[in-house]
Amino acid sequence: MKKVFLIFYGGTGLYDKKAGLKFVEKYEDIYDWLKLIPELSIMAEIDYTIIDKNKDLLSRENIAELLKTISENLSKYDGIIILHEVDSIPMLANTIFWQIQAPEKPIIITGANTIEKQTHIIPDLSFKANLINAFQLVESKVARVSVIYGSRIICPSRLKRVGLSGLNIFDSVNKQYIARIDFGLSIEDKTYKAKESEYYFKFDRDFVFFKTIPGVKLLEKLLEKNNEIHAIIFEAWKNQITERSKLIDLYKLGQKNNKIIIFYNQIGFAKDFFKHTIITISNITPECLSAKLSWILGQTKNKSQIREMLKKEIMDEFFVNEIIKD
Amino acid sequence: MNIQWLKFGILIIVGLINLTIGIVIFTKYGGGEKSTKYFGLLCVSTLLWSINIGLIAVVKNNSIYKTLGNLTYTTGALILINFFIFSIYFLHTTKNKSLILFKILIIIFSILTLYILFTNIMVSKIYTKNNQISYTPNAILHLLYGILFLIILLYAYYILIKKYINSQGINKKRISIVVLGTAISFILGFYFDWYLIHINVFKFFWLGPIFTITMNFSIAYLLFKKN
Repeated sequence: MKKVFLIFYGGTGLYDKKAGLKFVEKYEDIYDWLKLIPELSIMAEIDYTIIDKNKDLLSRENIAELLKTISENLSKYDGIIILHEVDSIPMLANTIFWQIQAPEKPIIITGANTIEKQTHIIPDLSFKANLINAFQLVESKVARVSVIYGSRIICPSRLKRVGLSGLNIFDSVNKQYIARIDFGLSIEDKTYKAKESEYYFKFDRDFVFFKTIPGVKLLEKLLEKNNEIHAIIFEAWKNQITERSKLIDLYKLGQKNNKIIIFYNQIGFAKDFFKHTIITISNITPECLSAKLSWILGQTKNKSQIREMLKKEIMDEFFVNEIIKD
Repeated sequence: MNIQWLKFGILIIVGLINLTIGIVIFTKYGGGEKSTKYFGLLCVSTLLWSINIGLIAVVKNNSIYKTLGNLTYTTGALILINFFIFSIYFLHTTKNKSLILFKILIIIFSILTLYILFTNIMVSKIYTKNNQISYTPNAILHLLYGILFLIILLYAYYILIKKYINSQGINKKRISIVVLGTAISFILGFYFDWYLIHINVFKFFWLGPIFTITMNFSIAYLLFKKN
């Protein structure tokens, strides 16, 4: 019988006709919660733990604890399933994807999409199926970090949220999936070859990510020499016309104060005007870029190394961008 | 064209459709997952059953006819056994105390089927009617086979429907399509190839395999539908 390690880290709103909506708030809740899905204990031997989600959801402490828990338990089990709030699944999944590179066993992330309205809570009626299918994915031995929701099993680096609710709230940016749930579990990415497993426990999230270029005053403050910020990422809008001179000025200020400036868009740049100044990054999801930068900053503070690592394809994180739509 | 050969041709096409679905299932899932593996085997068994019934429609030799007649019970049993195992493993494994009882029942059913295959008791009375060789089955054996078949089939559906009730989201959709598609095939297959023969109406026996198409369509829908 397979052995599965379940990590409860939010996203546990399980709806049962008789019991109603049940959450796991503390370790003691887990036993009764698991009794509501008896199928799971038939499918595998289950051990579990809880990460205190009442702290800041993706706090440094929580992530460090999660990485430690995974590294300590992965070799003992056939796979690890992490339950998490769907809103922050893309960020969490990408963080694990970069910190635990090419795991030797499946690490699967899923969660309940419980929607809180002012007067009532809408339960996620797909959650039970997602969890059962996650257990099946452990059986199939797809040794990767993956997110399962609805009929799709997606690599974190391709993950994007496409809806608030429904059968499939996540999609892949380039329509490539690790696997799909159709009649059975259909593995689509059969050519994937994992490199050696590497565990990284250091990460550094002291950078800011702007969806547009903010006002000069704020920028000057962020680029001050003495703050802890190592990098600033600006995401260009699709049709945004950016004054090159303004960006160069920013770069110079950043250079002076030892900060890295990254100019990002998902579509790609026809011409890399900033080859030697600002770092331009494209064809990567924003969550994947954030997690990658966080991982890089955890390994080095050397600017040329950071530039090189950011530009280099390390985990098949860059994708062909034709299919990206708003 | 002789009508018998037309029936044979239709049943070969039906068999090939089943074989195609079986091959697609084995290619797509690689036989690693138990539920899809047994459904693939079910499709191959349906191919054998279709060819078997097709040959019965055209064969003129009495001794070959007897062998083929006996063989229909074996190919039918193969379909049922594969479907039963599939129902246990589909979505998630079922563990139930009464499963042991049904495993014993399947062994009895298999022994009965082998007994039918290797003796001449079931297909004994052979006659020709409307240019078609027909037979009167051994009433007791035929009835016993039918009852056992029905009990096992109903239990397989009991497992699937229980899973349907307990399932949510994508799994509910998957199981409903499987139940609907296969139920039509089993009901009509059982009607044309067991009940009508039981009441000595033989001219519609070739229709049974044709209704496996509904099963093929429902599975093909799941296999090929994107998103």
